[in-house]
Amino acid sequence: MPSQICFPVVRIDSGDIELFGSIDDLVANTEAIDVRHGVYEVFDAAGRRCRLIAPDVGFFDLKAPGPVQLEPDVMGVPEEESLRNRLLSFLMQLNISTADLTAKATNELVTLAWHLTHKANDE
Amino acid sequence: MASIGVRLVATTAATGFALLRENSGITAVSSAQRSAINAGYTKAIADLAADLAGHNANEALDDPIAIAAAQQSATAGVRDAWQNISNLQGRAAETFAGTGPGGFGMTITGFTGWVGDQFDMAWAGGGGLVDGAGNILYGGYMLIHDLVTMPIDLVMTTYGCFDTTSRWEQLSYFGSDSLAALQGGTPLWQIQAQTAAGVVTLGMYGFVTTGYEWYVTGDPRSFQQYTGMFATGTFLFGYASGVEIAIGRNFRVAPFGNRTGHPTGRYPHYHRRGPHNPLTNETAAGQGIGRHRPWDIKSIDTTFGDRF
Repeated sequence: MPSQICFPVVRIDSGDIELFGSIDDLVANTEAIDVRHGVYEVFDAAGRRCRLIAPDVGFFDLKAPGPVQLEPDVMGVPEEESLRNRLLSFLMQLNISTADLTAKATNELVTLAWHLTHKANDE
Repeated sequence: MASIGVRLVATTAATGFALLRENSGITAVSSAQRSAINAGYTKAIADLAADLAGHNANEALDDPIAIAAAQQSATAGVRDAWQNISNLQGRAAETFAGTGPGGFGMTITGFTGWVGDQFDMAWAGGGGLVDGAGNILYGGYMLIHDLVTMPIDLVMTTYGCFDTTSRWEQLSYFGSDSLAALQGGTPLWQIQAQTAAGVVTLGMYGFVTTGYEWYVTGDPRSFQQYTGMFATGTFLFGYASGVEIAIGRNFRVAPFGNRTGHPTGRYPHYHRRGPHNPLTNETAAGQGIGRHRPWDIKSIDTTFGDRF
């Protein structure tokens, strides 16, 4: 259920991370073809893994890509440590000292990543 | 004993018969003689004609006037031939000038003529382009008009816009209405596949038929109009569907943009997975496949080139 998801949602594409403050924001920025290709891993702010679901498409894959859906992986266990490691790897690319990062809790890393990736000129 | 009357009749008849026979004989002799005389004269005339022809021929061989006329004719022929050679040599500069200015032996007159020729060709070409563009736009207009006024299910079979055989045909699902096929239990993907195959086939068919018409008649209008319809249809389909052309998993192009509600995704864009971070061997920050290049700007970008 979307109500169980703690925002912002963290969408991970290899070493690239984007954070979204709402379902609508996530849907507008996520294309179904990438979901079908299994490009993304998604966590909510509490470190719970979520699933992106892409709508089915026509035989020739020429239909307009419909909106993707997000749902929590209710059967999974929280993976806060995994999320933390991914955030650390991402933030270290932005020339932030490792000592400063490792001292922060996971939710603080989420907040820091949110502010760094949502400056005024970000789309 | 025969009476005088009877004998007189018999004598008269015998006399008449004898006279008739004599007369016939005289006539036959006369005809034979006339024929013989005519034949003789005919032969004589034929002989005279033959003699005259021979005589004239012999006379012509020796006739100085005829000889002079023949010589003059030959001289005139030679002079005409030389004139043709001179004309060809005179036109050689312009002939060579056809490959560009400053050709071998080009004169000022030849150069100005070449410039005039180029201008004429450019003018004609420009007119052709304008006509062609007009026809292409007209074809696009026709398609939009028809799409608005006809069920979307139908596809036009094009034999050229000026051709009265142009007609609409159902290509949705083996000639049937796609809605009826769907209601009949045909899977949606199967209808879509058939429709797409029909449209593709129709597209190739239209180009072949209108192209052949252009080749045969020299009139490119049908081909131009079909091109306009095809291009317009492709654009409308591409815009409405937001189709992206994927080349592998790390690159794809959206030539008409998407309709997903993304602020920059609506414009034509492409997606590319950026370079890997050598330290982590993962995609660098901000260089994921989801970026709408070159429009998206990220706060973590370090150079202008990051958006490409």
